[in-house]
Amino acid sequence: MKKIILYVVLVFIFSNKYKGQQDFILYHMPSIPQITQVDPASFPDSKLDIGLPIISSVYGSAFNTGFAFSDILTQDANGNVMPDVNGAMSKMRANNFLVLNANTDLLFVGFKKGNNFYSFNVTEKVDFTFNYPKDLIIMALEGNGNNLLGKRASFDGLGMDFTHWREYAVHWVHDVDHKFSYGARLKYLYGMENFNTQVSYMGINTDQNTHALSFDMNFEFQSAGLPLVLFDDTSSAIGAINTDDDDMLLQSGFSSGPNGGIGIGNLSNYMFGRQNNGVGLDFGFNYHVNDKLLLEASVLDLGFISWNQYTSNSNLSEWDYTYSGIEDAITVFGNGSSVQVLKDVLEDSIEMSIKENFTYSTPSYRTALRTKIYASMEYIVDHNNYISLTGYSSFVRNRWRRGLGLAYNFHLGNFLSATASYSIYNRSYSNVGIGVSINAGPLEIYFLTDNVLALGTLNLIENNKNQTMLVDDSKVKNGQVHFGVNLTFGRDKGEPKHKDDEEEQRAEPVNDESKEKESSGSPQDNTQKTVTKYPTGDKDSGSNKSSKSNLDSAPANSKQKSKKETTKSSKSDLNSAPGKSKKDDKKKIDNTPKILESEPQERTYRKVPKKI
Amino acid sequence: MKSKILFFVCIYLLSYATKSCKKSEQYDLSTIQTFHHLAIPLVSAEIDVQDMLDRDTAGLISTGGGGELLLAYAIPSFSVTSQEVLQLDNSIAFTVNSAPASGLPSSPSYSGSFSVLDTSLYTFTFPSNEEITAIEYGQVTVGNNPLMIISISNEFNHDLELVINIPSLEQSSGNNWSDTVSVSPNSLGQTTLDMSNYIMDLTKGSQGFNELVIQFKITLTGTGQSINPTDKVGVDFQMTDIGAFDVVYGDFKNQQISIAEDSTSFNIFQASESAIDFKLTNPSIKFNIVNSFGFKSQLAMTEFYSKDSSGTIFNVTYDSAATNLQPATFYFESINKPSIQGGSSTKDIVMNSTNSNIVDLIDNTPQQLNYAPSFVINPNLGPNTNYITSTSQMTINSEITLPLEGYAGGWKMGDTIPFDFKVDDLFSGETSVEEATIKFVTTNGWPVEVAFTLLLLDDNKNTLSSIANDELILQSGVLDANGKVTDPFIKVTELYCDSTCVDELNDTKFVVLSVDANTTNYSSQQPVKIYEDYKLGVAMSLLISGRMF
Repeated sequence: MKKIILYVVLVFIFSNKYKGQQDFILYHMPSIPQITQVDPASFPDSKLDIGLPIISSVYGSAFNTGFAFSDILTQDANGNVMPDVNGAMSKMRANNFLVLNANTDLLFVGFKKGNNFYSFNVTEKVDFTFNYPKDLIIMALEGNGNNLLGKRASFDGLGMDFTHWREYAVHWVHDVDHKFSYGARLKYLYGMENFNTQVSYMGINTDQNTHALSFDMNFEFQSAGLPLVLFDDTSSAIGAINTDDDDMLLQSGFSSGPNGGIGIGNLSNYMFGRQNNGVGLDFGFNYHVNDKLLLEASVLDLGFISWNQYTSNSNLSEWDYTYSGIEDAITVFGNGSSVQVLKDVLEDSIEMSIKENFTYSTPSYRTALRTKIYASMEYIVDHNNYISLTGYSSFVRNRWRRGLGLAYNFHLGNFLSATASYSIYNRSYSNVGIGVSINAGPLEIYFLTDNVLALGTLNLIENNKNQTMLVDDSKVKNGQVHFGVNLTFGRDKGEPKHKDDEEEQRAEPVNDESKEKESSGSPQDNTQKTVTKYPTGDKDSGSNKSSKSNLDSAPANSKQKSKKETTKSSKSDLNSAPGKSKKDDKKKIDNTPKILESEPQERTYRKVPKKI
Repeated sequence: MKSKILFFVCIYLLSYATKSCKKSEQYDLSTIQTFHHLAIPLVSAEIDVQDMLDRDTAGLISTGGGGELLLAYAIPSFSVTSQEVLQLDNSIAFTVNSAPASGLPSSPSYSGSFSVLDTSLYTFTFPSNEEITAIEYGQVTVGNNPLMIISISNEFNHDLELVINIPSLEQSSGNNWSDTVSVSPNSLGQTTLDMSNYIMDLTKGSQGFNELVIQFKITLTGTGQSINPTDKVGVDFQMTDIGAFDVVYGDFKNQQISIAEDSTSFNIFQASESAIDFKLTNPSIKFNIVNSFGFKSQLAMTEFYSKDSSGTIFNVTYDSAATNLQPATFYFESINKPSIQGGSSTKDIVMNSTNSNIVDLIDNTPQQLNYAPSFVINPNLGPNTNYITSTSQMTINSEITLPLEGYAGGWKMGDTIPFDFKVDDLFSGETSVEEATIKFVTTNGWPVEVAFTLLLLDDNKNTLSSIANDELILQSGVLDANGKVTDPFIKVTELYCDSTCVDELNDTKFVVLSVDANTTNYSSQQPVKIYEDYKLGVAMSLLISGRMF
């Protein structure tokens, strides 16, 4: 097992292809209800979660695999900022991505019933990916006359994918004896806009001597719900909503605005009336290997959207064209002509040639969601401290993207949950994350970021205030924030009461069984934490099913044994009080005031079964 | 305790990592400067033989059997017709007066009858003393038939009968023509003959040529009226359209018929800025002569000279025997008469390097060739047996052929042309080009080397800068032993223009483009040949560096 883990870690580290849209921090913040967005098998510790509309979960991220500011910019002796082409070349790969994601929960409600938890959410999502080849950046930074001279500037893969959709989801998670939980989210998807690049091959070769420009291209774009763009004001190129057609515009939810713009029309047609439907599925599981190791895995966004309305397909079949210059030299130099001649000839020639190879149609099509896979191993140090290693994987434009994060999670009572992480993704090693969740009664406020280094890189506030354009010379390539406000009910409020009394009661036979196992003399159980002392003085065997209990029991050997024991006792108290009400819990706590002081350390939880 | 330590250690590491990764430097994007290197293709052309020579030699290019090229300057054809050779009056008229009663005494009344015989001659005369023996008429299809009109005036008070017999006017059957005309006293009579299909035999006279013999018999029958000794009979002959003959036989004697002087321009040399050291090693002038006259003839040049760009005259010399070249007037070889009447004989006469000084003529880069040809009829003295038909003519088609084979040097061509290529306006008002490189890539399949000069001139055509000064941009293709290019030569020439030069380029309003060309190994006078499959690829490109946007 250790070899496998080591192998996985090494593969991730040395493959150096860490790209993706991920939410590492959230994966380690079990106190936040939205954790199920990335871990559908995480079992909430509250009985009722209500997300405040729009602000319950606001997610935004920007990932750039190609370069950081410091990679492509440098300063000359005069302090002028200059492109650093060599830097850019050394940092970028042949193909690079700029990924922008944003989503927000318009509605989120979840509740617990027995060992099941149900939730419903409506989430607005935007996903944008721009794939830019390295040569495109070199071309932009320094033109075709230096590093690209005499070779083909490859723009293969250049493309953009953009999707705006809404997700209506029903989520269910089921806990099995606190050792294993599994969950799934079924989603109905409503698509609003899409643009995707199906085929993208493009190259421009600049001859070393003649500078003849040889173009080779093959493109295929699909779009849905986008305005129609014309070639030469005559031929359709991309998009399908003819903004000059008032009826179509109105039907699509818009109207003709002032100055030839677009205004809001029948908005419901846009918000709910598009014939672009899809389904999606998230699922995952959590499994305790033993009391120190928790394995988690989830698969997200397995599904598709069918785009049927205002669709377009723009295809440029294989097209080769060489522009070598004007045939008659006199027209270049003579007769008062200027370089405009060159530009005009080039543009006209290319446009004419492209139009001959270009086709436009309006078929329906289907796009797959960007499926993501999380896999995590969590080492449970003790009741309040966890160290986890999480791998992330997805496919973007047929490329396997993956990331790796190491996180430390700390709980300070029910009041604070904090996570710090270091992650490697998007070819960046400069990702230090932090997440904080604060509970004030039922009000939970959280703020997460996978890369705190990105905050302030653009100096947005300062620049806006001073009308400057200052950016930090940093290695940051990724930025991500996730914040929100929830109302959570049914959690313990500082009292060492256990939130899953009913479950514990239900789980009692399992405990008995565990006890039986323990009593059967499992060496591992015996060596690690075989005995749990309850505040009441009762003993309970440390079930290997319950890492939480094991956590609680582990410190028993430490110098803080007595304190730990009290913690355990509260834990045990929870576990040993199946079917008891909170009042009962309070009673017990009242009887053991010392234990109460340590009770906040017990708040864990979704990922660590509470019941032994 | 452990967990707290761990937590604080993590917080410290986190803050340290944040601090260490966060550099204090900032980029001020408002100061961003771009520096681009842009490679732009300007010109790409493949120039084949047709393109290369078309401008100055439109319609002149010909291809030899082996694919070799030659320039063929066609001299307008000229010809001599039978009307120019035989100046035969189309109409003639003569009168024969007869006084048959001159031997009779005056009588107040005469009732008798008497006859008188008379013979008359009409002699044709020609400028060159041609001796025509016969004029043959056929059936005229165009124009008027030749006619002979005989008008008779009878001044007697008696009846008159005139019998006309013309031995010189024979029918195809061999019978000569005769007619009898009766004329009343003091009246006029007339008879007419369509001479179509008649032969006018002019040999019946005493000299045996040019004479038309006419015999008369006048019979006078008295009416009882008086006879005056002065009464006479008048016979007027008129012949019209006698030039509409089919054939004329005779001895046309030795004549020389001149044709007006004419000239031909050599456009290929028109653009030459200076005299070229130029030698086409195998030029020629070909005369193709077609003769359908029934006599031997000879082409002569009474004037034959060229003028170069300065107007200097260069005389062409020739000797058909290639022994003693002489300037005009000189004579070419004779052309025989056709072997059969109605046919034609053809002869090609060539002036070349062996029988003329035409090589020197081309060396002088003539811009105009002047010539005055003439025909010599019967160059050998007579007697001659000649004929001409109505359609006989002598036609001369001439062509000056310049096989593109030889060597040339010092061929300077150029022009000053307007220029509006302001590189600092290339993309935007922010464009500031710091340096530029102009590249020439030539793929030369010609046996020619070209040096290039590019001067930049300002508004007043003052020289600002010289980007290229006799820069060799075109290097000859690889030649075989026969002077034919077997492999093209690719040459890349880069003309660098630094920042100063770029500034001057921005101020340039005119450019002087000039080339100095010569053939391969011109200094060794190595002849080269131009073939139809020669190609020259020329690409011109620009590489500029600086701020573009």
